[in-house]
Amino acid sequence: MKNLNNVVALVAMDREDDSASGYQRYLQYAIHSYKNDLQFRINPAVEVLYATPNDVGIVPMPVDMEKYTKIAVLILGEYYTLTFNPDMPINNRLDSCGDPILDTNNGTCTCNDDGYATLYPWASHWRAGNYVGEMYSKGGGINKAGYYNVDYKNRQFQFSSVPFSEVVIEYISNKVSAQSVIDDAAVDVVRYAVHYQLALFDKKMTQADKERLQRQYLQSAYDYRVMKTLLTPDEFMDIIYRSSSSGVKR
Amino acid sequence: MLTKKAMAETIQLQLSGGRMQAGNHIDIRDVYNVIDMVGDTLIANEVLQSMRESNVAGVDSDWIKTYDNVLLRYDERRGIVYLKLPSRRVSLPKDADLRSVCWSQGDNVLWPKETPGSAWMWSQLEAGASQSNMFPWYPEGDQLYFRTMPKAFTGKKVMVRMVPAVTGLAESDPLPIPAQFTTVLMEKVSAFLRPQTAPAKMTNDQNPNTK
Repeated sequence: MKNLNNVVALVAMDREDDSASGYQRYLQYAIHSYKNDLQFRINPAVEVLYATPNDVGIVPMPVDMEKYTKIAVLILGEYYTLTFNPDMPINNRLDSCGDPILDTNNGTCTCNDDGYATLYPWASHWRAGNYVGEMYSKGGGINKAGYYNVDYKNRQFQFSSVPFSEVVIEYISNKVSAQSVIDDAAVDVVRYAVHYQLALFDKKMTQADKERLQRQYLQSAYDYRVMKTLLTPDEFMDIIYRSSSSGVKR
Repeated sequence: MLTKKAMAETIQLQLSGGRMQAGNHIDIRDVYNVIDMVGDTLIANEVLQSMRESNVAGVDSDWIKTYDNVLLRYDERRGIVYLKLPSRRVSLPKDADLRSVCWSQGDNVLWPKETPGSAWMWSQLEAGASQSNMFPWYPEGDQLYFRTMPKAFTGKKVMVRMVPAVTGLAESDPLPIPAQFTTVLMEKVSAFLRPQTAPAKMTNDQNPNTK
């Protein structure tokens, strides 16, 4: 088994590009190919992340996150859904001693059950090996439990007014990253897909070279599909035996 | 390797006919300036040539220098981690003078290079997501910015590989030029500083520079 990082390294070697300048471009095309050629446009999955904010209330986004759907905090054994506050500043300043400046209020909340009539159901998920089939959280709107803001530039969440013990984030995952694993036979599919995509938008490359790489890519994708869908000996014998019977031969 | 001062003194000696005069007419500071200018042009031209012969990655290692102790700083106003490059840069297409950035002992994981202003694009793509041991960077002048690096890493040291410029070097610093090019540089600087003489056919009595 290989991962996408391995394929990216292979492409870099093919192109004699030992710098890291093309890494992200290669990786993005590899991810694109992984989704289109190997997973056949997989459906995104809903994942749940348990995370502990750092001293200034920040949690980095998971690598595979496309979009978050719910965020809650655990207070006294109950989950309280937090409210999005786009006006909240992000804690990212330091004072002259190098200590963080808390632009966001990080005091703990004083919430109780008042005003939390609505229960929000969460997607079923696994936590440390245990299946969490049902989970509900309270909260939303003007929120005593606290607020969060999203810093897309740095791909992180900022929390305020929550006890920084544990937050739970439900999100839509694309299930793909540089560490996504593919089987050895699929390496060439992704590799030539990246080469073809790079060639397609290269203004200096000749049409003949572009078509050569396209052929290479289509051929390796076809070979992979044939290999994956080929009948095994067992399947072949099943077909033979299915149509044979011990009755009288005519 | 030849230092900037040694080269300047050699050029002075050459221009004064092999024997330094007390009333030497070329100040050594002027020679330094010309070495800076001509040296940077030479580096840019030669590196560009080696890139044309192979590709962007094909910069001969002779021109590249490794700095393994570069401090990470934090820009409070912009809220982003950055570093100041340890040397001035030479101008090359696609910032090809900046070869790689990584942890000092993490040569096997080079951090990807981005372009200034591409943060919006990478923040929407999977490949731009932050990884635990890989921090993409983009250059702005003599500084590199790290889009996804947590500010907690401020004060740590990283390794930078780049093609250094001559400009900004102290006079005791060795010139960052492969040995076989020092003669070329010396000849070019010397030619630049040589007194102009009018050709014989333009001789007139008023010109003190005529031979």
